[in-house]
Amino acid sequence: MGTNGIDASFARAVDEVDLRAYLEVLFKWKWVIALITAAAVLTSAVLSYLVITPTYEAKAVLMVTQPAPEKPASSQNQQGTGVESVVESVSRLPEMTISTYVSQLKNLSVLEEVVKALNLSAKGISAQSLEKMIQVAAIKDTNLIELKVQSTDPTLASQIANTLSQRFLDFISQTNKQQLSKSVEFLDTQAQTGEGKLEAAKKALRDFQMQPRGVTFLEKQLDARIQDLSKYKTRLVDLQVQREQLAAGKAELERLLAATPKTIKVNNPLSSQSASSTTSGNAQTGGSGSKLVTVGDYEEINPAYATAAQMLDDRTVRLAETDAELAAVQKMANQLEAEVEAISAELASKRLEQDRLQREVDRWEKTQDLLNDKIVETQIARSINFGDTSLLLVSPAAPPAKPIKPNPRLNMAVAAVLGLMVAVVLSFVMEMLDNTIRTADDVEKRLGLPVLGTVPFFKPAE
Amino acid sequence: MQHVFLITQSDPRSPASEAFRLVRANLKFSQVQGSFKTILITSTGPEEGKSTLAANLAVTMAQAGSTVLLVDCDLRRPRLHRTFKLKNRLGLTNVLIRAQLWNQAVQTTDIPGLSLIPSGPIPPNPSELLGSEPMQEFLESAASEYDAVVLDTPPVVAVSDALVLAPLVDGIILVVRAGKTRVDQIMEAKKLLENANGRIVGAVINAAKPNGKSYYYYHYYSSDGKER
Repeated sequence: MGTNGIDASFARAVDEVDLRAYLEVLFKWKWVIALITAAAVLTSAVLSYLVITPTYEAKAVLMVTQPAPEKPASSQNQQGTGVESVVESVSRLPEMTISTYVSQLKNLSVLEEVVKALNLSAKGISAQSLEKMIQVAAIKDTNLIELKVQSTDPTLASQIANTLSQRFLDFISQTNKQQLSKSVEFLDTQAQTGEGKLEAAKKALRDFQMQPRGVTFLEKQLDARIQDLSKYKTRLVDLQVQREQLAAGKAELERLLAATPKTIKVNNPLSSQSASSTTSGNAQTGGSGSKLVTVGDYEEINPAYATAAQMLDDRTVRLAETDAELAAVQKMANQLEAEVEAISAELASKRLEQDRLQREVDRWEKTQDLLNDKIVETQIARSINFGDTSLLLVSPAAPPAKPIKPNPRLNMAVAAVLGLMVAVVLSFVMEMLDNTIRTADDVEKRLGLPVLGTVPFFKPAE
Repeated sequence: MQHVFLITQSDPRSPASEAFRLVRANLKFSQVQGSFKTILITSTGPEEGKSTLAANLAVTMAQAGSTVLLVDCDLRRPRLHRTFKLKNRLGLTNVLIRAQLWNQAVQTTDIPGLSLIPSGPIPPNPSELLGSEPMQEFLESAASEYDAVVLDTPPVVAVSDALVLAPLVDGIILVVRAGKTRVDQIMEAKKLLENANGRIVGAVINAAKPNGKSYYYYHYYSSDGKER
């Protein structure tokens, strides 16, 4: 049939044909594409230059001179965090971060004021529609705030920008003043109630101190008792030592007495044995100095014995006395000890109570000091015009010379790109919808007819 | 209206002339299934290259040494006489109304072996004339005298002239213009011709003329090298 050669060549060229086909399509529709693009550009040009009323933008710049720290790190990590932070939070100015200012700039009440001031309602601008004309943005990494006002009237735009900034400054100082007044009021009432509490605490302390058997009294009493006790204790020790000595002496004497014969036999060596026995017996019966005059013997009372006996008696008496005294002193000491213990206990509890009352007084005093300081601070702050000190109008808005919208060049560029895209898409769509015969393949598939030949386009060379 | 251009005569080496010769060769191969001397050339719509194909095919046949009679059966917009710079005072119409013998309407062209019968005066009822007895007689005798008779006709979808002629010829070639001929229409044309007992030999694709006046275009449908 002669068509096989054609098929083979088509199979070989399939990849190439793809890209080529696209280019072919674009080429085929190039006039349509050009026309649509041109039409789009022209339309946007006409709209930009002739139809759309130009919009002007006035720009004012505000500087935040005292931007609040983003989050105050707890500077004082002492015990003052409790009361102090509470008081701090009450008396603090509202924390105005830059973003707060940015959002506050569109505050409706301020806008209302601007509308009134410039008599914008005559121009048909309400506070709500005014808000749509305004753009506020913080300039990144600075403490500047840009206020942009868009309007079809350049002078009006700048007027609005300036009035709004001024009103906003006033608004800020006003709100701050209000806030501070409130704080002062609050702090005052706090201080008054605190004063009452302080007085009460002091009175309680005084009353306590004036009670009988107060701390000081008890302390003195305790001291006295302790001194007495120590005296008694030394006495007790002395007595014990004395008693030991006496007991030792007594034993010594008894031994001596036992060793000493009661009587001395004078020239009578016979009855020495019996005498000795008698002597011992005599000694046992208390050594009464009865002189036994035995017949046969001449005996005489031993003087050494008598002296020893005498001393022993004396010792015995003294020992008894000492024992009695010792018992008495011991009893006294015990009594004193008990007393000291009782007084100590009483003193401790009294002291505890006093300390508690003292602490109460200290606490209230501290609070009062703090409050008084804060009141003074806040009063000072109130007297300063915060609106002017925390915000500054850095550059007032001037009437813009050139409109910002429409931007004809940009619009036309966008239109060109869009038009081109639409046109290209459209041309491909047309191509898809186009159901004409293109290739030998089409003929063979669709018609089932052999292709006898494909004649390329040729131009008459006239 | 496009002027029919005989590229096969003026530039036989061009790719286009090559393509026409390929058509001729393919036609010759197709004859195995039965000889056809009378060939009708039509398409779905105007301006698809029927006349160009008819004329150039006839020229290539003549160049190959055949005797060829080219008949302009387009009795509505005849063009072939102008292509060969001949007069159209006398032509097919005269033959069909039996005012003339057909061989008296034949004019020789300056291509050896190629003769032409132009359309003649434009009649009010071309379809009827073409479907008449004289047409059949003329075709039979012409086929016996020439190696090939090539008929150029009006488009199929618009008028029924080609359909009337379809059963009278040995083979029909459908001309398709790439990017112009619609698939549904060509299928319709094919159906109509087959229903009219026509025998379609095949199709010839005419490459679309590129848009605009640019001289640049893709040889997208180039038949270059397709035989090699």
